[in-house]
Amino acid sequence: MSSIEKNSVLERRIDSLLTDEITINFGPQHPSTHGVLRLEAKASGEVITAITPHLGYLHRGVEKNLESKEFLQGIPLLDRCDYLSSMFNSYIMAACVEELTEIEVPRRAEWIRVVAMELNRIASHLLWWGTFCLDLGASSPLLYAFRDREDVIDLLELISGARLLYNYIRPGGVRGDVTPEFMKKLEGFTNRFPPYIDEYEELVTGNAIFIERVTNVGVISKERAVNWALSGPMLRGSGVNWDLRINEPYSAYPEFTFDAAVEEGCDVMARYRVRMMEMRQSNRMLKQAVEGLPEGSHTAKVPTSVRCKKGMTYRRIESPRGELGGFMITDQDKAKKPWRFHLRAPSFANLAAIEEMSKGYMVADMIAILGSIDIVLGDVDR
Amino acid sequence: MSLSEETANRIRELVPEAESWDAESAELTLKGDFSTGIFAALRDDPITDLKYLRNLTAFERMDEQGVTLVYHIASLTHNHTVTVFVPLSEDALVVQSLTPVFSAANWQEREVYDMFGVRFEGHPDHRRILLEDTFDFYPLRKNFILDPAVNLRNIKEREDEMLKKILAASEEKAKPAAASSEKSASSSKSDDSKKGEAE
Repeated sequence: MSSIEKNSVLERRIDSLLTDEITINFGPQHPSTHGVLRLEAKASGEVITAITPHLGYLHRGVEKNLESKEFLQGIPLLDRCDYLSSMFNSYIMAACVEELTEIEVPRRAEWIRVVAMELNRIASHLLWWGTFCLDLGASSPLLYAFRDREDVIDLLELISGARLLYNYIRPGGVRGDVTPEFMKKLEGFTNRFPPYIDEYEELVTGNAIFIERVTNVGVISKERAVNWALSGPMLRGSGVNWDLRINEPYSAYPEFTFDAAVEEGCDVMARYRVRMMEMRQSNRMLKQAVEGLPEGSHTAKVPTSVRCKKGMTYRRIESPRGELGGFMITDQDKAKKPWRFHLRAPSFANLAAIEEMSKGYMVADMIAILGSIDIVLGDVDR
Repeated sequence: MSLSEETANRIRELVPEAESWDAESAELTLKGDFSTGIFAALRDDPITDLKYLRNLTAFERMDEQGVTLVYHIASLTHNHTVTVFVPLSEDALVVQSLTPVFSAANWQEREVYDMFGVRFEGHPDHRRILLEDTFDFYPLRKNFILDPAVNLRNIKEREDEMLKKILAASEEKAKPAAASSEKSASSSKSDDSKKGEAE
């Protein structure tokens, strides 16, 4: 649906329903806000005309805190920002430090990082899938999602010792090497997982009620998506072929074969399909890692207290939610702490477009649209 | 991901008033009183094609007083990124808002205002985004010291002061609303709709 068509639909709906505009307060304690987000929506009848988001309920001043912490101490803190994909947050700090110290990361370490990050991506997308279906009123998918997420979390626990906040990826490599037991279990998982995704597709994707709820809802055109600087599945769901793993390669991703998931639909369904495809692609990468994990060391020799040279860097990676960026400045040579660390949070940038995406749709559609953004409030508020 | 020579030259042509342009590191420095037309030109030119404002932030300079704004703008078709620096002096922390050019600037500028106190002229919704509207400090400035002994001093008095400010702000907010509802009460149509809302 083009934006012109969309506007005419909006006008028609408003014209035919001559009701007074009402304000609906949504959150901050509502379960489908996925945390503590408050939306102040104005609705004419059932049609949304304006949304004012109120943020900051989970603001913990991470950026300020990082300025008084050593780089290694900063990693656990960053893990708690986007708590559903903390491997990526650890990686962003490690990548910034590696750029300003010129530490050479061993090939095996980069491969293990890719394994850890792709497992984390699957876990994050599974949780999204379960809760998104729950938002739309289907409660059983959540049970399927948590059954299989448990598998992934067990694997991550094997390598890092933690189930949610890993603190595993470090400057120079990873904290511990993978064990043969892990590799065996990983192989089992990669074989088990594709039929699971088929099961999800059978359960939800083809469901008539589901299709009705998500098709042509929350439309944002290609041009507008770029103008809003949306990233990740939000951008690729609008038909922009932009995946940082391919377009700005980092870590060991150039050594893996996989495709970027792109959909032309521009709506909630397109974003849903992109995430489902990404899970399959992640599994494909894990399979390649099982076969070809290189030998070597899992970490470079790094001093206990890492010291960076003076400089500035902006590193960005493809997190499950989009472009996760780390902008780091150090103020002197042999710096122990960053002078400034800015986390470019993908949820924050993607959530900004909610008003434009929701205008003209029903109140119930707003829930689907919010779900399709896949926000993590820890990432939005930092 | 260095820039092609064509792009580098094109940027030099499009931004003649730049303080400096380093083609090798793709870093552009602008004066604080730049016009948003520069960014619109860089966005619409097919060679530069800088349509994607991927990151907007600021940092406090180390050597002298003042804040520098940082814009990372990318082209998704040509796969290049240009970093734009805008150094601001302490007594003039104000620039033009980029919201008319990039919608993405909307929240990111609000965040910079929230954390550094830089004002963006022409911003459609110039409020703090993460912190309380009534706060009188900008936490990412270096003069905001992260120390409980400093921050919790006179906490009671400061909380009372804050409370007064919040109450005053909410009263002010309620005033125009009350005035408009009195006005609308005279017309019967909106009176009916008011009833409907109450029900």
